[in-house]
Amino acid sequence: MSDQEQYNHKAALIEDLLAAPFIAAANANSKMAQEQVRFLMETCFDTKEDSFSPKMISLTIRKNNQSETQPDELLTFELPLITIIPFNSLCVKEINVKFDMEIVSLAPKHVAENDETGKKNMEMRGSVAASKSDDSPTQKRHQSKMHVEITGGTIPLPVGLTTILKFYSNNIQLKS
Amino acid sequence: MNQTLQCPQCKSEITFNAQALIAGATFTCTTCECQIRMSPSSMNQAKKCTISLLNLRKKSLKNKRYGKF
Repeated sequence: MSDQEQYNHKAALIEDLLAAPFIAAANANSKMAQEQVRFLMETCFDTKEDSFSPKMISLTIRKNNQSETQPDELLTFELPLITIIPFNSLCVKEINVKFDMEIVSLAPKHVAENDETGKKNMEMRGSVAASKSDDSPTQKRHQSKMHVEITGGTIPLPVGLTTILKFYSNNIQLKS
Repeated sequence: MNQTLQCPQCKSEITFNAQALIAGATFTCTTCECQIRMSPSSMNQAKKCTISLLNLRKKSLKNKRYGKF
């Protein structure tokens, strides 16, 4: 294997290199979401065979009576525990990734033999740039450096979960 | 963090703080002036849930710090 081939082997596709921090953040979010769901199911729901029913908490409501002779009315209503616990806080809120990248090769993309489109796409390979002090004069000749800044953010709570919470909140009934 | 709850009496929104509610605070509806508070029987259950959530957050922060995520 020539030196150039060895160097290309270390390099990754540019798109893979750019996507890697997002994939890492998405994986982190996924793990946290799994933990959150496990917590939600264990803490806020009761398991009955194959179904889950929300754990309810009761709140008392004191209605002030206008007349001083009558005592205040005390009523009870129930609502699911899930509605008062703020759940949407365990996630990667924003990621900021900054790094220098060097393009180490540019070659025609491998096209399948039966591909009749005739397109000849180019494939760029790169790697995370070494610090300036590590640059050797021979490497500099073959490389092109790029400065990459990626910013990502999260989206609000899923519509499905928001709908469930709204549904619960809108169906609060007085118990007694 | 403040949250809202629909008043079962007049259907307007009551702003409350979950942690304060669980700790026994009373919140008043600005429209009908009725007061809501958590029943003592539910307080333990809600407190347990809050503690579990805090532990989960601590665990998540610890994992992030040590690069486990």
